[in-house]
Amino acid sequence: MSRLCLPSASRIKCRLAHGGVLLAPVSVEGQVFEFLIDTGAAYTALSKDVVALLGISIDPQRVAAIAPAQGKTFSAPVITIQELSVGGFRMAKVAAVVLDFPQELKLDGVLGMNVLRRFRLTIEADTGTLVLRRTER
Amino acid sequence: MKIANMKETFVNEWVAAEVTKMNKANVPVAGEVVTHGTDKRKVYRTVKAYLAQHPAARMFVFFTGDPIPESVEVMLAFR
Repeated sequence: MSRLCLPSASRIKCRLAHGGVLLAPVSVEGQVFEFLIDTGAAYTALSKDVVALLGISIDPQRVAAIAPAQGKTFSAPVITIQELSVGGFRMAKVAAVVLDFPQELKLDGVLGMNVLRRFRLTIEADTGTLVLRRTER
Repeated sequence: MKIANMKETFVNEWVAAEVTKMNKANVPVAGEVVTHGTDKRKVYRTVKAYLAQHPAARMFVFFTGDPIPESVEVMLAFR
């Protein structure tokens, strides 16, 4: 993953749902969706619907073994997002897995640690604010 | 229409809006509703067709309600 443009910090007012999960607007290839912020997920994930909408090609040879919190390990396609943006931070060539979320979950994606670890991250849970600060690396 | 108003108007629906205003954190705050409804696939099909006709459009697609049903708990951690 490489950087295109980084402001010094960004405060993102997220939507608090389900008693505390955070949903943040994330731009993928120029289109914006609400992603669940998940510091327990190693990878960012997109729903199959988003991948189809954006016309992102899936290489059947490129898969990752996914170990969920409970249940069997399964394989999921891995794609490369050419441009992902959150809070004004733009990143190029971001890896993401493609998941078929259960129908009960009205989710388009999950923002995982492969993106979040690029920042000094603060979650102000009481106000549902995600603070991303640029790190010097 | 403000995004906040869309969430109040289209309760528990998928909404796709062409973004007309973002705040300084690049969060959409206003837009023109292109389509909405409870059928996600139908909303996505409409968005795809709209983008084919308006390739420069920036869309915001979101569900207005709680993405996790009340009776469900999730642990999405995966690696």
